[in-house]
Amino acid sequence: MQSALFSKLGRSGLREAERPPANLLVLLAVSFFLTIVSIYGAQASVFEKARESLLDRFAPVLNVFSAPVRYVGNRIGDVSDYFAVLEENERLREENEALRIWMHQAMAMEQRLAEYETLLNSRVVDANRYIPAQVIAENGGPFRRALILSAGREAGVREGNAVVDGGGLIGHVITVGKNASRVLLLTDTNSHVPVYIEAVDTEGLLTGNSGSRIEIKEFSGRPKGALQVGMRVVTSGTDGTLPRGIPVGEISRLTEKGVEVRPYSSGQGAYLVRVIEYAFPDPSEAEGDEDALGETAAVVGQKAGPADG
Amino acid sequence: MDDRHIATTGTLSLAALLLFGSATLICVPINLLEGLVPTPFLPLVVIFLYGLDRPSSLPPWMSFAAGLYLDLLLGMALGPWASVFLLMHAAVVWQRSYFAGRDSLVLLTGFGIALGGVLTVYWVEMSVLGGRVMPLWPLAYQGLITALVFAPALLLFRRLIAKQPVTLGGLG
Repeated sequence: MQSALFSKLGRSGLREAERPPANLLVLLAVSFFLTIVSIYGAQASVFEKARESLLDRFAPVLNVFSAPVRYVGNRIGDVSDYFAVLEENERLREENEALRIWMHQAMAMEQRLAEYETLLNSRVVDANRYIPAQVIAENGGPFRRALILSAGREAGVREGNAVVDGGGLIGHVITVGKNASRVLLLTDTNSHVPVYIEAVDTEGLLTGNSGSRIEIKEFSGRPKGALQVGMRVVTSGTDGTLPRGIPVGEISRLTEKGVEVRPYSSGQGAYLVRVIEYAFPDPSEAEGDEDALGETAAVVGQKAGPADG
Repeated sequence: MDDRHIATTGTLSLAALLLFGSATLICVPINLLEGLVPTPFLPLVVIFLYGLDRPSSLPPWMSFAAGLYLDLLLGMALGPWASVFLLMHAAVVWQRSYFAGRDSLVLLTGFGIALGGVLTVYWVEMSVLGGRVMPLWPLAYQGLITALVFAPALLLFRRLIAKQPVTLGGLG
């Protein structure tokens, strides 16, 4: 009673090759056909519906699978933290002091900004709403960089929403199910995010390359100044789906084709994240505001007139 | 050479559990060594070992279904993983009689060659789908990790299979 793994009998080798069964070849042909169809219709609604449906059905399963892994990871983290607790405490103390200074400066600036906004009667964009979510799965494939979150349509997540963690932007939502959603990370080759380099007042398109690096190869115009390592990169908001000003990373290397950006957060290993619920300002409302601003300016001009005269 | 093992509901369920479970594991955020070690392609190991020893317990449709499941779970185009799983299945069925009774090193070499072949097909498919040449090293690295996992997986599989009753005679 022998089997292929246990048998001690030697075989003559490639001569005795077996033909794969016909049903296997048929299924193989079907899978290649599906791949070819996907080239032209990967985003077709039927595929997208299937992905959404599977996402919803298997989110609890993924949660069950990831819970013990997370638990073990946390315990290992606890042990390593224990050995570095003194250094970590010292580092946090210093960081806390620096952050306190920044906090006071930010509060003063916020106050000043509010005064300017009142003076200009400018329309303040509604504050973003944050939807907290847990990472329940990661794409472990070699090319796609994506996460699956525990929040979906019911929690208010919409396609295109930005996803951030403590460091900054990690990606945006591409598929939304009822109770789960998929996030395409910045490092994925399909990720293209319009960004703004503050120091040189220039916009560009940030693209992933499947590694840990992200690159800006296309710029909207000539940078107003020399690009330098360490310059901060934020979202530009010009695509209308992401709000402006979310920290993305900083320039890490200048290349012939563009610049490499080191993201503040790659998203790999993230556990708790926040989805930014953002609605692009309605241009018609902005027109209304401009009219109102024009009227205000006229009134101010009339009032100022006699005094000037 | 036909497979003399009769697939029962139990053996089919176990194979399905291992295959779909290992496919799901690819999506679990394991992050071994701070994410330096990627999750191995365990479904390919499962298909290879079952195809070698208990092909009736893991029929081609199961490999196909697991491939589609993984494609959908990863949010990718339908087909690439299904074709990769089926190619591995075809490769092992094709050379099954050659592998019968060979020692572990030959099995590992055979698995390595089959793995290299199917991952190359996957790379070509993803490059065509992505419209550009995809970087080869992440795939090669993950493939290497999978090959390293093969030896312990083979040991575990032998123990698992030894516990299963053989209804009819096997190979040889």
